[in-house]
Amino acid sequence: MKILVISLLRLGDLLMQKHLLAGLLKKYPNAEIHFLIRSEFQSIEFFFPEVKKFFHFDGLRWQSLMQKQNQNILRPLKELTDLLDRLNNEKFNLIMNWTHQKGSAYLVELIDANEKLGLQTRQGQFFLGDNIWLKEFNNHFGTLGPSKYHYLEYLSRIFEIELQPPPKVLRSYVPGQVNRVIVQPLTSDAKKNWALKNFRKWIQLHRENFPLDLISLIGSPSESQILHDEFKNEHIHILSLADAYELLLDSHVLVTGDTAIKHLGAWAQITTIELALGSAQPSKTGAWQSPQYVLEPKVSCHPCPHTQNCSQSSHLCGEALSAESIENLFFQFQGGNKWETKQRTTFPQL
Amino acid sequence: MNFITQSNSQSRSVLFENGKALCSYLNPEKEALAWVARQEIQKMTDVLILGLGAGYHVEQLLRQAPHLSISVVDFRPECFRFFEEEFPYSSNKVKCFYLRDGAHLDQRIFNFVSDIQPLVLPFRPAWQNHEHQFADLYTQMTFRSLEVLEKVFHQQISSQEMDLSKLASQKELLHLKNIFESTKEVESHLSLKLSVLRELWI
Repeated sequence: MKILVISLLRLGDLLMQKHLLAGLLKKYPNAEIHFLIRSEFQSIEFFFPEVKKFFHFDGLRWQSLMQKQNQNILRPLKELTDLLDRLNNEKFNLIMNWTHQKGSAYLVELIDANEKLGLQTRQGQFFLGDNIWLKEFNNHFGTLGPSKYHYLEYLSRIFEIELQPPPKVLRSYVPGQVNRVIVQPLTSDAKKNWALKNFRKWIQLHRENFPLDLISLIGSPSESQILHDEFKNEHIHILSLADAYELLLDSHVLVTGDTAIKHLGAWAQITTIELALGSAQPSKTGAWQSPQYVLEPKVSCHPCPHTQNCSQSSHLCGEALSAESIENLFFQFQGGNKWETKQRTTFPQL
Repeated sequence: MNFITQSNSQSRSVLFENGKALCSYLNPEKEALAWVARQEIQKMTDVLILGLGAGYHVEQLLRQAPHLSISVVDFRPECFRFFEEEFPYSSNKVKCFYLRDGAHLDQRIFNFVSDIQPLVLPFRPAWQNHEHQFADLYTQMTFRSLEVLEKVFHQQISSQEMDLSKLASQKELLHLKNIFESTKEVESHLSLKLSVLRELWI
């Protein structure tokens, strides 16, 4: 049996979806799992040994081609057709659309299979079928309000795939010992970034409180310059995702607002502290981990829409998050509170 | 047309047509280097150069990007003769399309452009005396001409799916969305594929 999973969301979503693969293989024990992912995420394929074959949706390239005057106007159409031909040559038995976006729904109609699950079009019209969970997800998940269920719980119910409980933290903070603390200060979305001066302040504070801890900063090659400019005296590792994962496996605590690294931290089963700024919605897409540590400032504009820039005159959610609130978590790991947390710190119950 | 060859102070041969040089007379190699530097050659695979002229730019592109599959189009046989004499090695490495009918895609080059859909690289210094013809060719080779699109849709895609009269109302076919807007309200594979692509630019 051949199953195609369409997963065209962002990198963090893809990393989260890995939690469903064990259940998928349990339901279809002899199945070959194929994934259609965005081309720019090829570097994460090492993380999915369960997947027999990856296909790549080159949306960024096609967007670029559409803007080029010297490119054949039909080139994106030709490349999409080539991709669809390759997919249809596989003769899939089942397609699961884990993306739930309009473009992916059209793709489901264009790819042949005996059975198709998830959002799709039929004769060009969007079709949800009679799956009540799919309808519930469609009606509520895209809104800005909190969600009753985590993204993975929705997918589990929609596709009737068993979801394992959140993995427990294996390498937690050990008070009084040398702990390796990893910090990813930057994200790919400006409104999710906590100001770098705040990170500097918190690192200084942490060194005073927990001098034994080894703090390392990590970032992608595109973030190298800014990290080296802003954190001249710190250990900075510019890493691929594969190397970042290796480093996390050898660490105790991760502090980040970055979605993909957050999920890698959960996979590495280390204590992951999410700084949920901007459009982050931890009740929907928080790290699938137990316990889950989230610092989510309560300001009226949070969470903001994912597709828009920060609408405020200053970055209110970032300003509402203090260095002391992160530090307070470390004191809680030690079994005590040094500061009373002024902004609300949420610990969503999964 | 009157073609002559002259050597510059660096003993480089330059081709002239009706008194106009088809590349830089003073320094054709510097001009070719600058032209190649403007291209994103690492991202290219198949390119079609529009305008052979004296061929220095073709020679330079081949030298810097031997991985490329390079084709070149011109409608002046004198340019091809000059290129073969000056750059015999390169002329064997490059696919040359000589358009006998001027600014009109014959079936051979239409099939090539349609199958390969190469990136079209205009070399404007070689367009001297024929700017309008080359500009028309540029439009046709990127399929931004109604005439060529009609041919494509008739030959390769069912014309039942397109309302070509809507395309005719476009002064210039600048974007794939013009084609999307011309698809008929039928549930066809073409319409669905364009819907996938449309989601990318919304």
